[in-house]
Amino acid sequence: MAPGSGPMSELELERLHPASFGWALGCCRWDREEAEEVLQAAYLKVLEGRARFDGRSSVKTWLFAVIRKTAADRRRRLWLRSLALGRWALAGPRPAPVSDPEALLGQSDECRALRAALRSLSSRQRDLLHLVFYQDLTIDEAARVMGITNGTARRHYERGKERLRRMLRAGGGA
Amino acid sequence: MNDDDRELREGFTRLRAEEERGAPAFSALRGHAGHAAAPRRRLLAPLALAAAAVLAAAMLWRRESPPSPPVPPAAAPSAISLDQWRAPTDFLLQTPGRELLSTVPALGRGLPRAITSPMPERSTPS
Repeated sequence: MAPGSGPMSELELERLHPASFGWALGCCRWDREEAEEVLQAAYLKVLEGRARFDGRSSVKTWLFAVIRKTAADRRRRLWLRSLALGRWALAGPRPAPVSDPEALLGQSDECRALRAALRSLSSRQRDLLHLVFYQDLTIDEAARVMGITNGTARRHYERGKERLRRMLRAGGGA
Repeated sequence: MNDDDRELREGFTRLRAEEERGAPAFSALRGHAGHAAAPRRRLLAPLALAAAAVLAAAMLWRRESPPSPPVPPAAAPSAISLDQWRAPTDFLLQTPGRELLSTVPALGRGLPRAITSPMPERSTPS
Protein backbone atom coordinates (compact mmCIF):
# COMPACT_ATOMS: atom_id res chain seq x y z
CA MET A 1 0.00 0.00 0.00
CA ALA A 2 1.30 3.44 -0.83
CA PRO A 3 2.11 5.64 2.11
CA GLY A 4 -0.69 7.97 3.09
CA SER A 5 -3.08 6.26 0.73
CA GLY A 6 -5.83 6.18 3.36
CA PRO A 7 -7.77 3.17 4.57
CA MET A 8 -6.03 -0.17 4.41
CA SER A 9 -7.46 -2.74 2.02
CA GLU A 10 -9.32 -5.80 3.27
CA LEU A 11 -6.86 -8.00 1.43
CA GLU A 12 -3.96 -6.59 3.38
CA LEU A 13 -5.84 -6.96 6.67
CA GLU A 14 -6.59 -10.55 5.83
CA ARG A 15 -2.95 -11.25 5.05
CA LEU A 16 -1.94 -9.96 8.48
CA HIS A 17 -4.92 -11.50 10.29
CA PRO A 18 -3.19 -14.51 11.95
CA ALA A 19 -0.38 -12.33 13.28
CA SER A 20 -2.88 -9.66 14.33
CA PHE A 21 -4.90 -12.21 16.26
CA GLY A 22 -1.78 -13.39 18.08
CA TRP A 23 -0.93 -9.80 18.96
CA ALA A 24 -4.49 -9.06 20.11
CA LEU A 25 -4.33 -12.14 22.35
CA GLY A 26 -1.12 -10.86 23.88
CA CYS A 27 -2.59 -7.38 24.41
CA CYS A 28 -5.62 -8.93 26.15
CA ARG A 29 -3.56 -11.32 28.31
CA TRP A 30 -4.86 -14.32 26.34
CA ASP A 31 -8.51 -13.61 26.93
CA ARG A 32 -9.79 -14.93 23.61
CA GLU A 33 -13.19 -13.29 23.72
CA GLU A 34 -11.74 -9.90 24.54
CA ALA A 35 -9.08 -10.32 21.86
CA GLU A 36 -11.73 -10.98 19.21
CA GLU A 37 -13.69 -7.90 20.25
CA VAL A 38 -10.57 -5.75 20.19
CA LEU A 39 -9.53 -7.06 16.79
CA GLN A 40 -13.00 -6.50 15.41
CA ALA A 41 -13.04 -2.91 16.68
CA ALA A 42 -9.57 -2.32 15.24
CA TYR A 43 -10.63 -3.68 11.83
CA LEU A 44 -13.63 -1.40 11.88
CA LYS A 45 -11.42 1.61 12.60
CA VAL A 46 -9.12 0.68 9.75
CA LEU A 47 -11.82 -0.13 7.20
CA GLU A 48 -13.83 2.98 7.97
CA GLY A 49 -10.71 5.10 7.65
CA ARG A 50 -10.82 6.33 11.26
CA ALA A 51 -7.29 5.02 11.61
CA ARG A 52 -5.21 6.04 8.62
CA PHE A 53 -1.87 4.68 7.59
CA ASP A 54 0.55 7.60 7.24
CA GLY A 55 3.49 5.71 5.78
CA ARG A 56 5.90 6.52 8.62
CA SER A 57 6.35 2.84 9.45
CA SER A 58 5.57 -0.54 7.94
CA VAL A 59 1.91 -1.53 7.57
CA LYS A 60 2.33 -4.31 10.13
CA THR A 61 3.86 -1.96 12.71
CA TRP A 62 1.08 0.56 12.17
CA LEU A 63 -1.69 -2.04 12.39
CA PHE A 64 -0.23 -3.46 15.58
CA ALA A 65 -0.15 0.02 17.09
CA VAL A 66 -3.83 0.44 16.21
CA ILE A 67 -4.68 -2.91 17.85
CA ARG A 68 -2.68 -2.05 20.96
CA LYS A 69 -4.38 1.34 21.30
CA THR A 70 -7.81 -0.22 20.76
CA ALA A 71 -7.14 -2.76 23.52
CA ALA A 72 -5.95 -0.01 25.88
CA ASP A 73 -9.01 2.15 25.10
CA ARG A 74 -11.32 -0.77 25.72
CA ARG A 75 -9.69 -1.57 29.05
CA ARG A 76 -9.96 2.09 30.10
CA ARG A 77 -13.60 2.29 29.05
CA LEU A 78 -14.47 -0.85 30.98
CA TRP A 79 -12.65 0.48 34.03
CA LEU A 80 -14.47 3.82 33.85
CA ARG A 81 -17.79 2.08 33.38
CA SER A 82 -17.14 -0.14 36.38
CA LEU A 83 -16.38 3.01 38.40
CA ALA A 84 -19.51 4.77 37.22
CA LEU A 85 -21.99 1.94 37.51
CA GLY A 86 -20.44 -0.26 40.13
CA ARG A 87 -19.78 -3.92 39.83
CA TRP A 88 -23.43 -4.90 40.07
CA ALA A 89 -24.26 -3.24 36.77
CA LEU A 90 -21.61 -5.16 34.90
CA ALA A 91 -22.41 -8.46 36.54
CA GLY A 92 -25.69 -8.98 34.69
CA PRO A 93 -25.13 -8.92 30.94
CA ARG A 94 -21.54 -10.20 30.94
CA PRO A 95 -21.12 -13.90 30.35
CA ALA A 96 -19.37 -15.94 32.99
CA PRO A 97 -15.59 -15.85 32.50
CA VAL A 98 -13.94 -18.91 31.11
CA SER A 99 -12.29 -20.69 34.00
CA ASP A 100 -9.41 -21.96 31.95
CA PRO A 101 -8.58 -19.79 28.96
CA GLU A 102 -5.81 -22.17 28.00
CA ALA A 103 -8.44 -24.72 27.14
CA LEU A 104 -9.59 -22.48 24.33
CA LEU A 105 -6.12 -21.78 23.02
CA GLY A 106 -4.36 -25.11 23.16
CA GLN A 107 -3.22 -27.87 25.41
CA SER A 108 0.53 -27.85 25.02
CA ASP A 109 2.30 -27.73 28.39
CA GLU A 110 5.22 -25.79 26.99
CA CYS A 111 2.94 -23.11 25.61
CA ARG A 112 0.98 -23.03 28.81
CA ALA A 113 4.15 -22.48 30.82
CA LEU A 114 5.32 -19.77 28.45
CA ARG A 115 1.97 -17.96 28.67
CA ALA A 116 2.00 -18.19 32.46
CA ALA A 117 5.53 -16.81 32.59
CA LEU A 118 4.63 -14.00 30.18
CA ARG A 119 1.59 -13.07 32.26
CA SER A 120 3.74 -12.42 35.27
CA LEU A 121 5.94 -9.92 33.40
CA SER A 122 5.08 -6.24 33.27
CA SER A 123 2.88 -5.35 30.31
CA ARG A 124 5.71 -3.41 28.67
CA GLN A 125 8.17 -6.28 28.96
CA ARG A 126 5.56 -8.79 27.82
CA ASP A 127 4.55 -6.77 24.77
CA LEU A 128 8.16 -6.16 23.75
CA LEU A 129 9.11 -9.82 23.98
CA HIS A 130 5.98 -10.79 22.08
CA LEU A 131 6.70 -8.34 19.28
CA VAL A 132 10.34 -9.36 18.95
CA PHE A 133 10.16 -13.15 19.42
CA TYR A 134 6.63 -13.93 18.29
CA GLN A 135 6.11 -11.35 15.57
CA ASP A 136 9.74 -11.16 14.40
CA LEU A 137 9.92 -7.39 14.64
CA THR A 138 13.17 -5.60 15.47
CA ILE A 139 13.41 -3.84 18.83
CA ASP A 140 13.16 -0.48 17.06
CA GLU A 141 9.98 -1.54 15.26
CA ALA A 142 8.56 -2.84 18.53
CA ALA A 143 9.36 0.51 20.15
CA ARG A 144 7.41 2.23 17.36
CA VAL A 145 4.38 -0.03 17.93
CA MET A 146 4.45 0.79 21.61
CA GLY A 147 5.18 4.48 21.21
CA ILE A 148 8.31 4.44 23.36
CA THR A 149 11.94 5.38 22.65
CA ASN A 150 14.39 2.79 21.37
CA GLY A 151 16.48 3.09 24.53
CA THR A 152 13.51 2.39 26.79
CA ALA A 153 12.48 -0.52 24.58
CA ARG A 154 15.96 -2.05 24.75
CA ARG A 155 16.09 -1.74 28.53
CA HIS A 156 12.68 -3.38 29.00
CA TYR A 157 13.49 -6.02 26.42
CA GLU A 158 16.69 -7.10 28.20
CA ARG A 159 15.09 -7.08 31.63
CA GLY A 160 12.04 -8.94 30.41
CA LYS A 161 14.12 -11.54 28.66
CA GLU A 162 16.17 -12.21 31.78
CA ARG A 163 13.09 -12.48 33.94
CA LEU A 164 11.31 -14.75 31.48
CA ARG A 165 14.32 -17.09 31.30
CA ARG A 166 14.55 -17.28 35.07
CA MET A 167 10.87 -18.09 35.38
CA LEU A 168 10.93 -20.73 32.69
CA ARG A 169 13.92 -22.39 34.34
CA ALA A 170 12.20 -22.24 37.71
CA GLY A 171 9.19 -23.99 36.26
CA GLY A 172 6.86 -21.61 34.51
CA GLY A 173 5.98 -18.27 35.99
CA ALA A 174 3.90 -19.39 38.94
CA MET B 1 21.55 -14.53 18.74
CA ASN B 2 22.81 -16.76 21.60
CA ASP B 3 21.47 -20.17 22.64
CA ASP B 4 19.19 -18.70 25.28
CA ASP B 5 17.61 -16.42 22.71
CA ARG B 6 17.18 -19.33 20.33
CA GLU B 7 15.43 -21.30 23.02
CA LEU B 8 13.04 -18.44 23.69
CA ARG B 9 12.40 -17.96 20.00
CA GLU B 10 11.54 -21.63 19.59
CA GLY B 11 9.10 -21.39 22.48
CA PHE B 12 7.43 -18.37 20.92
CA THR B 13 7.32 -20.07 17.52
CA ARG B 14 5.43 -23.01 19.05
CA LEU B 15 3.10 -20.59 20.80
CA ARG B 16 2.45 -18.76 17.53
CA ALA B 17 1.71 -21.97 15.66
CA GLU B 18 -0.74 -23.03 18.35
CA GLU B 19 -2.53 -19.70 18.48
CA GLU B 20 -2.72 -19.32 14.73
CA ARG B 21 -4.36 -22.73 14.50
CA GLY B 22 -7.06 -21.50 16.87
CA ALA B 23 -7.51 -18.10 15.24
CA PRO B 24 -11.05 -17.23 14.09
CA ALA B 25 -11.58 -16.76 10.38
CA PHE B 26 -10.94 -13.26 9.11
CA SER B 27 -14.37 -13.18 7.49
CA ALA B 28 -16.04 -13.85 10.85
CA LEU B 29 -14.45 -10.81 12.47
CA ARG B 30 -14.76 -8.72 9.32
CA GLY B 31 -18.44 -9.63 9.13
CA HIS B 32 -18.97 -8.55 12.72
CA ALA B 33 -16.97 -5.41 12.15
CA GLY B 34 -19.48 -4.34 9.51
CA HIS B 35 -22.28 -4.67 12.03
CA ALA B 36 -20.39 -3.48 15.08
CA ALA B 37 -22.27 -0.20 15.15
CA ALA B 38 -25.61 -2.01 15.17
CA PRO B 39 -25.81 -2.64 18.94
CA ARG B 40 -25.32 1.05 19.59
CA ARG B 41 -28.02 1.91 17.08
CA ARG B 42 -30.27 -0.69 18.67
CA LEU B 43 -29.82 1.06 22.01
CA LEU B 44 -30.24 4.53 20.59
CA ALA B 45 -33.52 3.90 18.81
CA PRO B 46 -35.64 3.05 21.91
CA LEU B 47 -34.01 5.88 23.83
CA ALA B 48 -34.91 8.35 21.11
CA LEU B 49 -38.47 7.01 20.98
CA ALA B 50 -38.87 7.29 24.74
CA ALA B 51 -37.53 10.85 24.74
CA ALA B 52 -39.94 11.82 21.95
CA ALA B 53 -42.89 10.29 23.84
CA VAL B 54 -42.01 12.17 27.02
CA LEU B 55 -41.69 15.42 25.09
CA ALA B 56 -45.05 14.93 23.36
CA ALA B 57 -46.78 14.11 26.66
CA ALA B 58 -45.31 17.20 28.29
CA MET B 59 -46.51 19.42 25.42
CA LEU B 60 -50.02 17.91 25.55
CA TRP B 61 -50.26 18.39 29.30
CA ARG B 62 -49.17 22.01 29.01
CA ARG B 63 -51.71 22.70 26.29
CA GLU B 64 -54.65 21.08 28.13
CA SER B 65 -54.14 22.53 31.61
CA PRO B 66 -55.83 26.04 31.82
CA PRO B 67 -53.62 28.89 32.88
CA SER B 68 -54.25 29.98 36.48
CA PRO B 69 -56.04 33.40 36.81
CA PRO B 70 -53.92 36.27 38.05
CA VAL B 71 -54.44 37.20 41.68
CA PRO B 72 -55.93 40.73 42.11
CA PRO B 73 -53.65 42.90 44.20
CA ALA B 74 -56.45 44.00 46.62
CA ALA B 75 -57.38 40.46 47.42
CA ALA B 76 -53.90 39.41 48.10
CA PRO B 77 -53.72 38.19 51.66
CA SER B 78 -50.19 39.44 51.99
CA ALA B 79 -51.33 43.02 51.22
CA ILE B 80 -54.07 42.90 53.89
CA SER B 81 -51.88 41.51 56.55
CA LEU B 82 -49.15 44.02 55.75
CA ASP B 83 -51.58 46.93 56.19
CA GLN B 84 -52.85 45.73 59.54
CA TRP B 85 -49.62 44.49 60.86
CA ARG B 86 -48.29 45.97 64.04
CA ALA B 87 -44.87 45.38 65.38
CA PRO B 88 -44.91 43.46 68.66
CA THR B 89 -42.53 46.05 70.17
CA ASP B 90 -44.84 49.02 69.49
CA PHE B 91 -45.77 49.27 73.19
CA LEU B 92 -42.22 50.34 73.96
CA LEU B 93 -42.92 53.63 72.17
CA GLN B 94 -45.88 54.43 74.50
CA THR B 95 -43.76 56.47 76.94
CA PRO B 96 -45.18 58.97 79.53
CA GLY B 97 -45.18 62.56 78.19
CA ARG B 98 -45.09 61.40 74.62
CA GLU B 99 -47.74 64.02 73.70
CA LEU B 100 -45.21 66.79 74.47
CA LEU B 101 -43.02 65.55 71.71
CA SER B 102 -45.78 65.01 69.18
CA THR B 103 -47.76 68.30 69.63
CA VAL B 104 -46.89 71.99 69.18
CA PRO B 105 -47.25 74.11 72.33
CA ALA B 106 -50.07 76.76 72.02
CA LEU B 107 -50.25 80.20 73.61
CA GLY B 108 -52.85 80.70 76.36
CA ARG B 109 -52.94 77.16 77.33
CA GLY B 110 -51.35 75.99 80.44
CA LEU B 111 -48.65 73.43 80.64
CA PRO B 112 -49.69 69.99 81.54
CA ARG B 113 -50.31 69.48 85.14
CA ALA B 114 -47.44 67.24 85.70
CA ILE B 115 -45.02 70.00 84.74
CA THR B 116 -46.69 72.95 86.54
CA SER B 117 -47.24 71.22 89.88
CA PRO B 118 -45.08 72.81 92.61
CA MET B 119 -41.93 71.12 93.61
CA PRO B 120 -42.04 69.55 97.07
CA GLU B 121 -40.28 71.60 99.78
CA ARG B 122 -36.75 70.57 100.40
CA SER B 123 -36.11 69.70 103.99
CA THR B 124 -33.06 71.41 105.38
CA PRO B 125 -30.84 69.49 107.66
CA SER B 126 -30.86 70.85 111.19
